[in-house]
Amino acid sequence: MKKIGVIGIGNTLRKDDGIGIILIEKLVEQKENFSKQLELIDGGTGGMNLLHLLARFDSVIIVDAVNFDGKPGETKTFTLDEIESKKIPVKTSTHESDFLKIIQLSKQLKECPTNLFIFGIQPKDTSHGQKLSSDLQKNLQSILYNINKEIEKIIKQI
Amino acid sequence: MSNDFSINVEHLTRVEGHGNIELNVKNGKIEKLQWSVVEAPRFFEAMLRGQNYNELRPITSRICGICSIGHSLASLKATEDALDVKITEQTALLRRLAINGENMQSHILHIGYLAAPDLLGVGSVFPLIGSKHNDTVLKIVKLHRLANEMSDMICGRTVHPIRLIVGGFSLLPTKKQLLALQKRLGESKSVTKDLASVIQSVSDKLPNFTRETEYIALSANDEYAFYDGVLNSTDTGKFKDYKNYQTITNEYFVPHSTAKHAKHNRESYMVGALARFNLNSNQLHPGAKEVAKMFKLKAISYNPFMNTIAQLVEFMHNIEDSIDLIDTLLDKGIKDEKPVKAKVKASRGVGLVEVPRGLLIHDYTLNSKGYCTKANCIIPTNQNHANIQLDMEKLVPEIIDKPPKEIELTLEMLVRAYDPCISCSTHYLDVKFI
Repeated sequence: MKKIGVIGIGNTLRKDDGIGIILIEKLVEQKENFSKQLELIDGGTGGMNLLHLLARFDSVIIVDAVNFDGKPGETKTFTLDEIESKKIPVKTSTHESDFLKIIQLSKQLKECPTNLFIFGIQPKDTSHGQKLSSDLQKNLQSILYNINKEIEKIIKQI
Repeated sequence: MSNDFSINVEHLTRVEGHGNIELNVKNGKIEKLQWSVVEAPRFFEAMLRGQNYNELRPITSRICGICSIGHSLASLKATEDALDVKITEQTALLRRLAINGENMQSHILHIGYLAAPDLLGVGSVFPLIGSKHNDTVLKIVKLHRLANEMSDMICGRTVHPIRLIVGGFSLLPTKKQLLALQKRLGESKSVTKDLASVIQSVSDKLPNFTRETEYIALSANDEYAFYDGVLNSTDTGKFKDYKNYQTITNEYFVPHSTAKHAKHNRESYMVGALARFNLNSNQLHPGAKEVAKMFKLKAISYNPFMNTIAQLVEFMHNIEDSIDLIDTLLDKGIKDEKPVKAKVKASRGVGLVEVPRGLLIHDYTLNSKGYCTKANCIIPTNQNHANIQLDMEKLVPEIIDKPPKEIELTLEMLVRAYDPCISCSTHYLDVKFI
């Protein structure tokens, strides 16, 4: 059975930056709806630790706050090819663990998942604080709906 | 060499967070030399105010993705100190195992991914893959993975632990898990030794620079202190009044930096692996002592570049110590203990631990209902800023005749040797369509 990892990334002490973690917590509450091949992980601000998480799965969906110039709360799924081919600088943290470099290392080590997606949520406010911005809070149910749909779609695709 | 030159390193790479180095030389004289931290100030202490004592640990574990176990333990120790919670021997042993796991995670990350490229003459770890150092990279990844999985097993997560709670653990590892971990730790000793040999073969790249300074760390009677101990200084000796730690740390603000600085007996002091080594090296396990011997590292070493080597020594110590801790745990048998309950009262508590980058202190005041009314966190990197600045002020005149590029690299290596964690909390995917 192929293993799928859904990895939330972010810091819940920086408002909307924690959306990836909050979504993982919400998904864990409904985990009986998911197949056993799917593992939900709170990756926090682990930076380079992502390298080791990637090695465990055949397919990975990264869930994170992504600034793609959308409306706050808007979601968008990126494939790794999309990110790589457009030379988009994607930073997963300030810990000098550039996301693309982790992928590069993972590929060089021949342990990168075959399928890798990023489910991005447009943040509004990533300043210090434990609460989501009102825009994201207001849209939380629709974001959750979108990620469920996306997981379903990706499972069918792979 | 030109008599006039300037070096501006903005957002120094391969350190955690944002720091700048600025050097201006005119007519061969230093006009400006400054290490500054430009991160936005952190507001974690304010976030802790008004929170229930049970919430303090989960919140502080999010301060840093690298030291989340250390922050958790400092937080628990402060809370338990305030509420007179006496943890069991088993909890203390498991917490020591947890802190070893985190120290190993962080040290191998710094040695392998951040510092080794300087010694091997490349800009990052990536060109090393597929090169003659490929095997070394694989060893680094293997050791990092072991440390991660160890933290996962004891704490329930690789980062931001969940099983560490007030009074004990919410879930305990099994005998089978501990035995499997012990076996892997045993196997990793030779891998660590091999890595040490590679680093040793290029250790002549470490600048031979010394500056006498004060070193501060925890020390204990019966172990190389990480989880517990009393404040100790190479200048003034032991200081047992831990609740008055401010007498030692003396934090202050400087105009050019958003981070606090600290000083004690001199204008600056250093915390971290080298400080611990300088104060406690006689308590290292035998394999760790051997690694120190390979690099001729002896206490007291006044060369800050040797901090990376002290980390390597500690990595071996953490492995050996964890093997012993598991032996003790298994000899006594893992008991299904429930966490010790806290009796809520108005009180103040202070927790001190040694985390990868040095001394970490959490200080909480709780009200009669168990809610936090005041919090103070003393972060290791802030204690090192003044020492970095003074090191630079001694180092630059010694190398001023070198080409500016070499001076720049040496200054960068100096800061990286401290393994600073300037900003542990910022995290944000920034996608710009070009």
